[in-house]
Amino acid sequence: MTLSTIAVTVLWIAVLTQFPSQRRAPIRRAVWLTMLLLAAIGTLDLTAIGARLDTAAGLPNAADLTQHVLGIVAATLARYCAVAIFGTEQQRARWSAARTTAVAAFTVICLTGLFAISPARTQPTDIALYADFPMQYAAHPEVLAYWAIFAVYLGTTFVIIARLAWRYGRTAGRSPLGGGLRLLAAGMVAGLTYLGYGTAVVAAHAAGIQGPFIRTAPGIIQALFGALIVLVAAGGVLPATQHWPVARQIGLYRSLRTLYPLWAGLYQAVPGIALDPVPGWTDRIDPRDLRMRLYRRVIEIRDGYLALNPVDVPGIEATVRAAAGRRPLSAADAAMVAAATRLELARRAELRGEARAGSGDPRAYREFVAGADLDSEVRLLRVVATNWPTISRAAETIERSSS
Amino acid sequence: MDKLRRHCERRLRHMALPDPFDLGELCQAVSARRGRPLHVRRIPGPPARTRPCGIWIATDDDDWIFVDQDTSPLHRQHIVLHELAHMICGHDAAALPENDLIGRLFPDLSPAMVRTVLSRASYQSEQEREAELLASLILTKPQRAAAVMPVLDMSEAEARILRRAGLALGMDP
Repeated sequence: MTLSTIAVTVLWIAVLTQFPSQRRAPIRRAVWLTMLLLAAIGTLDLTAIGARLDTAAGLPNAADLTQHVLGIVAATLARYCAVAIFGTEQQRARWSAARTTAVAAFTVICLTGLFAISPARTQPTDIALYADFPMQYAAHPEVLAYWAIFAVYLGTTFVIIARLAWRYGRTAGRSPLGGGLRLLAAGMVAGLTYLGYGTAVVAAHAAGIQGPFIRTAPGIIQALFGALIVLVAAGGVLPATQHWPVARQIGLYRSLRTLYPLWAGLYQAVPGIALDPVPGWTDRIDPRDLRMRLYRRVIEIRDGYLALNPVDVPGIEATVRAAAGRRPLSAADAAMVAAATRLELARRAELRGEARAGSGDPRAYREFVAGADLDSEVRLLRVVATNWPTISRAAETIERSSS
Repeated sequence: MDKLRRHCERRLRHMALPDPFDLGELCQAVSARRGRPLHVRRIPGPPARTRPCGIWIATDDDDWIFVDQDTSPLHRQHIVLHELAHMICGHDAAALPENDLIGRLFPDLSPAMVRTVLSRASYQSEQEREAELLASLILTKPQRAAAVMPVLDMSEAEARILRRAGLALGMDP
């Protein structure tokens, strides 16, 4: 099985797994249809399938032309999706289906017309040497114009989507949605590299340049196209995986276990937080009711933090950064870890029976606020749990210096 | 605890909850059912270890829920739901054991006006355990569990865009 076949299989799996949910909303339908078109393009790019289409149509390079036309349609749909998802109210109101369709239709007519007058209409492409007909017939001006139109239309779409998907992927953070958007952005970068490299090869052919650069081109172009397909498939599916029952249960169990030490430490200091306390071994082996148990864990950790009495510690941020050692913390994580260290100091004081009466330091709570849903709460508390060695080291340093 | 859970699940099956879940709508529904205005406010003063994180005070005419603001939106929502669960379950603290606390937190409130006070501070009583369990069950029902937007440090416009992106990529709305 070649790399291209694997990539196309992955994309078809992604398209088919998304099918049951594609009917609910127009935007979901549009995204699914874009992925379906990409899967069809990838399928036509397979040598055996493409050759059969050429034979059936009685037209050399019919598969290449069909792929390029489908590429224009997919790019147009992708632009609609980008406006519908990321656009402001004004941009969405200004977006005109008629104008976009007209531009896409004009582009398709230009490509078809240029193909019709090129030698590619009557002569087959040597697939051992060339990935696409524009590379073989690049010396003909109409083919050069064909490739330029195709590359500009697709390239513009790739740039638009890569920029938006990367920006909002970073905003969404370490979540399935953030990961999915970043993978889509990476797929668009692979697409841009494919177009850039393809353009260089076409230009080299047009200029009559030969050499290793030309000989290795088909393999590299196939690899870049495969990367585009796999990354788009992975990015398109990743956000939805959190609703797949098995993936969801595994995720819940892992979060439950990650948060157990945090909860156990707080439970030791403030036993009243637990509605139904369970020993560690039961928590580890019991696979039932995971969502409810995780929800309770988060609420009880929050109750525990509110029951503590954190105090202000001057210079705590520097101590936390020093405790992090070679693993530098981002600004957001550093503030959160400092807040968690304040709370850890309060927990230790509570355990020693030295908890201060009166009001707590509100910063220990305010630096520590997540979203309105369980997932973002879990994500935040998992940052605390995974930075526990740093928090513990920082708390010990502060305790030693104050004793 | 298993028996209490079955009891709460039975109660939940007979409750008409907003779907998708909306705390404001549930507050309005409980208020309409009780025929009394319901107000949700923050607990006055700075956080302190002796202060409960949620309090329900019923006066002759109104219900008041007070919530600690120094915690996350999910936790605040849970605290309000805990107090609503007391109302839904028909809990009553006629003996007003927490009058001392109320006097400290709300010095202007006349004890003669107060009919019921319940605070979310521990799970020692059956009433507290029932309210806590019911609140947890309401928020963990599958159809109410899918507000999966990560909202760390982002504007409302960005959150809206990410909700649309999630919807487009197969996540539940």
